[in-house]
Amino acid sequence: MRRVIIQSALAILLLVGFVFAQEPGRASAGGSAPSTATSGEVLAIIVNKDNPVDNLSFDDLRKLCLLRRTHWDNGRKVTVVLLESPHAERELVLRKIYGMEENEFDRYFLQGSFTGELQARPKTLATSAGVKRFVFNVPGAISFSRASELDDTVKVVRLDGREPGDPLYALKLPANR
Amino acid sequence: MAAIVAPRLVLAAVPRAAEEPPQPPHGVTRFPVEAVINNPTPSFRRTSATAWTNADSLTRADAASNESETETNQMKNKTGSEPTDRATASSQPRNKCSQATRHRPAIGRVFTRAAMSMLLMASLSGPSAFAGPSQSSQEIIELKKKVAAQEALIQELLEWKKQVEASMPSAARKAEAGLEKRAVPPEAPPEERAVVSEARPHFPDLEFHGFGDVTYHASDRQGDKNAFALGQLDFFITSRLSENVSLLAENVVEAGSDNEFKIEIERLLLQVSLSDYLNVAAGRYHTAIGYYNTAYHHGQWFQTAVRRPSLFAFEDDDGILPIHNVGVSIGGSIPSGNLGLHYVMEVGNGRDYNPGSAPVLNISDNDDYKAVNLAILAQPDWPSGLQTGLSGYHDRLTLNGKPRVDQSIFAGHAVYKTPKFEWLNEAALLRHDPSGRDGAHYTSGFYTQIAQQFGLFEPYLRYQYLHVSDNDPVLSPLRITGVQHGPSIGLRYDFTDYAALKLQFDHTFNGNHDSVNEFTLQPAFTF
Repeated sequence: MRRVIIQSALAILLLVGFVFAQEPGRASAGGSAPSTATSGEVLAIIVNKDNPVDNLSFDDLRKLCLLRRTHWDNGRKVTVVLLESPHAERELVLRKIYGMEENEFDRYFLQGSFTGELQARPKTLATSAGVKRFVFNVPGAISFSRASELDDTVKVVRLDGREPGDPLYALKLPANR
Repeated sequence: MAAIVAPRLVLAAVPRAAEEPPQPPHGVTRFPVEAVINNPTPSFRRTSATAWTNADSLTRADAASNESETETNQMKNKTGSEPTDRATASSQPRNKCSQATRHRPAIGRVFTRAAMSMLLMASLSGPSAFAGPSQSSQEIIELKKKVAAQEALIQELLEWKKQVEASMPSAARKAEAGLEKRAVPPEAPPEERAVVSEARPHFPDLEFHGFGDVTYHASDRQGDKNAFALGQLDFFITSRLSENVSLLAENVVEAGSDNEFKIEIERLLLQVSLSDYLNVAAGRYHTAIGYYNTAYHHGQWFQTAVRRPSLFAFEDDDGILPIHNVGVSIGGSIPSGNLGLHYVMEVGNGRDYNPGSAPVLNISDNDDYKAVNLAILAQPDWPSGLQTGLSGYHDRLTLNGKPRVDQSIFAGHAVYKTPKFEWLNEAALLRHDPSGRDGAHYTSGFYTQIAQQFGLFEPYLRYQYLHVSDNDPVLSPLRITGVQHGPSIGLRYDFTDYAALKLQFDHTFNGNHDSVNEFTLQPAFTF
């Protein structure tokens, strides 16, 4: 009996340790930790110019991208738009923010609509110019754009209080992309 | 805004002043040709194109005209040519008084007569003699008046504009200023415009998905035959009707134990998302008891294992819970920071537990009492993927020929789920308390399931337990009694992104110490 209890406790401890080892963690799923690819281009968070938001925490950004938060503070519906695969911007967002691969991303939103929890899914566009145009036209839109491609038609939002040019800014593309 | 015109533009509309007529020779007084031509006095005489003569003055000076002509003829005879100053010669007044001056020197007489004629004509013609300069002045005066009036109008409009701007809210002013300064993206190529337009929401926005499975199972259960079986063909439809309103429908076609197909509306929900804190849905839904019932419905492809845990079996599969309900469901998030709390409140018809009756009360209820359910869920920010929850359900069951039974169901769950790993844990307790009788009956159940994905393969392990109280007034008539428990072990192979093959082995202990072994192979897919 004692042996059974000890073995069960060990098994539970191993299991718990295994579980937390699976947690992607804020570093690999994004978060505010510095990126290892420090020489790459920065990916800015862009919203419509009428959107009053100026700063987003990483957790809030993740909730918006996962559509767990469906409305902005001004009541506008959140519309997420991403570049289509295989753009480097999309890969970074999926890896850093969603913590998913492409098929897992599709399954998450399919299951979300299946359960009724999610009533929409992120839009997909082919070009960064199209993404900026969409954000310009749709008041509740949020997306991502390379800092070098930013213009006055969209508004840039800080991430965890950091501007895209900050050395500790979390969303940085790999150096060779 | 046509009234606000630069004065110079206004002036441009004013007809130009009459062209200045040519200056008359010295000593000759001019007046318009029309006045001369239209003058009825027969004594009018026009002596040259530029010489104008006042008819009245000619009448008065008529008497002196003969003398003038005589002098003219005398000069002509001497020089052989007409006098150069014909106007002077013809315009001299024919005045009887001039006879008195006949004896004066000729030049002096000419000057005197010229001066007298000028004075006489000026006094007799009045303003008409100076019509040219007077008319221009008048026009200038009128123009000046018009300019002044236009300037006053412009000033008035500017004042009105200031008043309107002052009365506008500051935000509107800022927005207006912002719009004036907002950069506009350059014109996009047609194909990009089409794509962006396509990406914008269009309503209704219908999406259709399907789920299906085929099963082969074999077991050592007495009387059971190994067989292939068509699973449920699930037609899943969603449609956004507007930004905040959507429809969800799940229609299932399946064959019963008699091998006959039937179609059933498993879910039909009209959902209104008012905010993150309030979402309202009405129709037929899966009751928010625990985790598995709301996370997994009729699409086998979503589930890791071959079948649902016994605790959450469907009503027509000897399930003990009210899996489906028809009513209203309200839910949303609770402001709780990183805790991520959510709530669900449901009111519906409940379940009919009478043997032989349709378990889901789709269009009528067998009593006036409505089933109510309340669930509180927590999805903290860290660790992401963790969800815990508690729910409480209550209904008053009407059983044919039996006392009413108060049904209470309490459930709790702790789930950790990521794209590559899941650990599901749930437990539920049913309490059936017949009114007017002693003692309530309790039914309990739980399961735990763990799965880890390795590439395309995902092995999993489940252990489940279900204990239905003997002589339960609700479940015993349905022949659901006793204890069932045991492990299930399986392997899921996702050979495509939307199709998977599952292999599962179940060893189930029954309360009477019998056990059943069952093997199931199931390809499941979505489309």
